[in-house]
Amino acid sequence: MAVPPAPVRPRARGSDGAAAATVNDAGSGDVVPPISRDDLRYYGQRAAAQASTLAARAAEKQIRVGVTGLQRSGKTVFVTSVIDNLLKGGRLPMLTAIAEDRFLGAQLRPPPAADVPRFAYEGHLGTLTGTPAAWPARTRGVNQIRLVLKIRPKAMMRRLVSEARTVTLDLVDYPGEWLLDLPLLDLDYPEWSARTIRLAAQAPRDRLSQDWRAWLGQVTPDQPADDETARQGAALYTAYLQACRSDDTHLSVIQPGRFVEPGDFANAPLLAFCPLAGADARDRRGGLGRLMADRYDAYKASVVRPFFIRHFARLHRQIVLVDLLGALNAGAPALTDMRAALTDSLASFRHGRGTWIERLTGTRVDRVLFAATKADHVAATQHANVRLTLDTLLADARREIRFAGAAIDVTAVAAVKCTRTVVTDHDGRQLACVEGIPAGRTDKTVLFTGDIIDPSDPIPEGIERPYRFMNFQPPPGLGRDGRGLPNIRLDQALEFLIGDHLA
Amino acid sequence: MTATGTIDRSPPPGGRPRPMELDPADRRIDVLDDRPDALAALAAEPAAAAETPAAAQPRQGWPALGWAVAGIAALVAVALCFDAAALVARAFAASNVLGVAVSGLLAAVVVVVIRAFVDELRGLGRLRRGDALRAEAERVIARAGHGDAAGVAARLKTFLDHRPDTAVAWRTVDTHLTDAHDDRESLYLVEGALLVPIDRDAYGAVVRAARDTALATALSPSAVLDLAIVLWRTARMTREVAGLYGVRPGPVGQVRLIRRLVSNLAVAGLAETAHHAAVDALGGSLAAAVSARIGQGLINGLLAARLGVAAMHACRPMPFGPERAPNLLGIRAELLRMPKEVF
Repeated sequence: MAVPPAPVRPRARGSDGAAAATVNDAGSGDVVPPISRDDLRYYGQRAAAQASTLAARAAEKQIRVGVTGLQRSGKTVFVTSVIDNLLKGGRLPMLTAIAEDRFLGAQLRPPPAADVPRFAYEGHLGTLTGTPAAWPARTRGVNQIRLVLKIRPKAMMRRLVSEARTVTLDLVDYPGEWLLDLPLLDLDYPEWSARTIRLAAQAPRDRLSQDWRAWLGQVTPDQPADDETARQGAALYTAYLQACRSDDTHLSVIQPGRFVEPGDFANAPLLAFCPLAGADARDRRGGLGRLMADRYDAYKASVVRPFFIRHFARLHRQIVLVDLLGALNAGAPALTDMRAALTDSLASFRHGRGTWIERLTGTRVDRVLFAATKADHVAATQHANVRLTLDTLLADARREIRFAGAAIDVTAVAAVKCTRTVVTDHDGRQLACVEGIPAGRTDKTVLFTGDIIDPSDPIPEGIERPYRFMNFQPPPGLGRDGRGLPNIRLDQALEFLIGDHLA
Repeated sequence: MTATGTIDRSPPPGGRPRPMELDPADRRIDVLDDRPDALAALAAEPAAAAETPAAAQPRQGWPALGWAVAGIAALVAVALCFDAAALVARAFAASNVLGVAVSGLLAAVVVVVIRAFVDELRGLGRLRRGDALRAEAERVIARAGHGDAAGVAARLKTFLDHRPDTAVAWRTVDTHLTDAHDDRESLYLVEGALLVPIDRDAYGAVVRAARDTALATALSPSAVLDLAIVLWRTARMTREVAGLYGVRPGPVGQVRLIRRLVSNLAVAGLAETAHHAAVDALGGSLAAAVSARIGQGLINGLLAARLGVAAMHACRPMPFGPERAPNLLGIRAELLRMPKEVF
């Protein structure tokens, strides 16, 4: 059961746009919506951010690559491995600049923004390569790190003196939950409420959302606004979202993201809201519906938009890490949910839509890579099918994005390769298996994970738990050879993301 | 992709294997190296594939005429043998010393002819082996499976044994290859380490030939001389390019190669030909307006360049990877720059 995609409609306005809402409801999408003070400030900030980015780009070649992915998709390890491999350059043979011997080296530089935490590369690498080797702790919120790459340009190859060129690469790592917040910018409170409640009633979410939906039955949007009631609803709603995120359900559509990843906003009144049944844009002032709607709008204005302006709108390239194997492990509902989440997140890369101001200051993400991570958890013979499965999940949304002009690719990567593919003889047939040390154990094991036979239908009906993907420990002695962390297809991912800038 | 039943959804023979943990002490085989069955199948397949077109080709001519020629050749050979025997006999009749000298000379001639014949055959064989290897590599790359790349790489290794400097390249490939690479990726890495350096040399040879041809025809006083220069320089370039890739055709092989190049000019991976021909013609006519001789030189140079690129396609033992095919744009830029440098 796919979740219906976000209805396409003009952007919603701030809290004082109730009158205009009726105009919109009549379906006249051509009418330029009146711009509120909120919006003006928003556009002003975006234009300023854009101008500063442009100025910086004119002075020096600069690429900002966003790295995102839902919890446990392996963002931290990915960024650590990318940095380590770029610094050492020994395990990226398919990055064209390295293959052509034009890559002179890379160095870390102080990050550009003083108020954004720097990605703790050294610490994470220390954890990965220490004894005993361990996975780094998860990072929270936005992290940034800057690398300078030195390249000998291709066109200069045949000149006598070839001048080296520097390319600044900023890696911005942020929670995928925040990416899923961006579609909220296009939804007003009643729309979002209806959508969320509809979703919560579907299996397997109906079981997880029982308590919250019981609470919903007791309140109406018209009852007097009361902070305590709102808090109660928000707490129940948050508990439901957390349950969705747990390992065995592994659901992906989590909105709003700050409920589960509050960052600096823990306990802020801003987060004390939740969807209400029967919410309406004309809810009277002083009612619970109006209170919730105001907080929803405040959430958009002070959480989602600043993130959009400061980080997302300034990205040039984006990689979305997807824990596809986790979803396959969890079963069909997790996969369906992942499809919805991916479609939702892709909507944010659709540009050229909306008002002329939006177009003027629009995002510049022109390449998006979706990568199924932890590819080393399956045998190498299965990588093509993992990639195809992700490709199928993205199929619908992908056509639209390509139409809008951004290049999209899909791949299967492993930021740190901890297993080896081996073929075993089992009952007279050859099975491609992985060999590695499972998490929490000390000895190697050989695991047959189950083969994806049909990528368009990876979880066929009638077969219970067709897959068994396990987490593995980082192998001991990682990075001791000084060539960079062993990886799978990191070079091809980088080639797609930044290869053209290294030409 | 809609589920219209084009995909085989039936479980593999013997039922779908369940995920399970196996005993590490189980007998295991590494994916990349030891798959003797697959290797043997690979080694057997391409030979058969190569035989078919080679065997089919000569039959396309006139068999009657072929027999006639062969018969005449045999008659001539028999006559030559008689003549030679008579010659030796006459030399011995005149003096023993002369007889020994003449028979020694005759023996030397026979040895040289046989050597040339064997070389020719070997050159043709290499040409054919290169074709087979390329076809095989194309198939393995298209399939992008696992375990077949090693066979292609091994054959490429023997094919390139004429180059002394490949050991380092093979070591590079070895350090970079992991069990996670599929055949397409493995062969891409192999190609990058082994063939791309050769490509660079071959491209250099083509550019040089194009420049020489252009310059010489621009300066030569007569059209006949033009033709001679173009033919001689093109032949030399083809030999040079072929030699770089490890194909060393003798005269017959070379004629065959050039014939193929000419017929391949329109196809053989030169999808750009039609487009470039138009652009070249425009550019050429512009130059011709400035100076007929220079224009002619440029056109001849471009023709040589195009033949050279076709030769690269025809002699390379593996297909060009994405973005690795040589382009004519660079050569044209070079040629167009030339008049400024010369005059």
